[in-house]
Amino acid sequence: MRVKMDISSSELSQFDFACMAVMRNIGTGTKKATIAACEEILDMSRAQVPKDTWTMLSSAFYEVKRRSDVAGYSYQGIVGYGGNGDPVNPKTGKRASSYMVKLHEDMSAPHVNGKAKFLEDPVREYAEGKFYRTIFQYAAEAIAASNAMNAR
Amino acid sequence: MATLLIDIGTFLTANGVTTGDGVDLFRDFRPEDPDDVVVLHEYPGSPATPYDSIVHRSVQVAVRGIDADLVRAKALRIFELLTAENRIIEFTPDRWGQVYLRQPPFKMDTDVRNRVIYAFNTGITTTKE
Repeated sequence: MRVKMDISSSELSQFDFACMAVMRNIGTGTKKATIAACEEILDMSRAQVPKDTWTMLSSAFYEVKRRSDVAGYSYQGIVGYGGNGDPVNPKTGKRASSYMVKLHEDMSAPHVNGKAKFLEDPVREYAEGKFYRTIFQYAAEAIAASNAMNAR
Repeated sequence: MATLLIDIGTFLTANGVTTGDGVDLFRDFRPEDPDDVVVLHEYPGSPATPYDSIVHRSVQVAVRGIDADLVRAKALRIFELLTAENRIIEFTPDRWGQVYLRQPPFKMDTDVRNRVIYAFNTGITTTKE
């Protein structure tokens, strides 16, 4: 059995260009997906964080950065508390970062208008139920954008 | 089979880390006295599935006491008791659990009576009750 293939260099260049475009769009989609995941987790967490003086809530933050230690389009999202200038609790005079571990972990202490594990629970819930949805959504968008570009 | 926290408590008492439930071992509650206590808290794990006979649960182990070194040593002892190469721990003859230690013991707080609290979190895969 023989197979004969005719490949023109211009078509090969076009194919190469299309692949590069898909990779670029996937990269953009990865960043968008990471931002969307961080925002959604932070929204869920804000609903659960104790709100006595609202200090901890106002220290909530997320940041997304491209990873330099991994080849290709890889982004890292960090969601946490103790950011935004690390605000001071007006009742105790303590910075949010100085008591956030106790507030998050101490399940015996009272939590005004909130609960312990206000970050861990949303992360677990998101990872189990929503993470794949976000990935598929932004991957589909990136591929659709590439297809539209290649069709032109 | 008792509840998961009771079975873990039985396991800790059998290994000499605690004296007994309600004495120096408490579940979902940390009393003001005595000073030296071990507290087991359960918090949300993963949703159960109807076709699966196992569930994934989350348990926090907290150790409180006056002497920070002794508190940390006790927390580490419990951490070691929950460590197995295949992660399977037989808490009682009727209860096994696959224990995922989420972090080593960390200092959670020093309370108003100057007592230190160390804690660590675990994920436990076990049979439905």
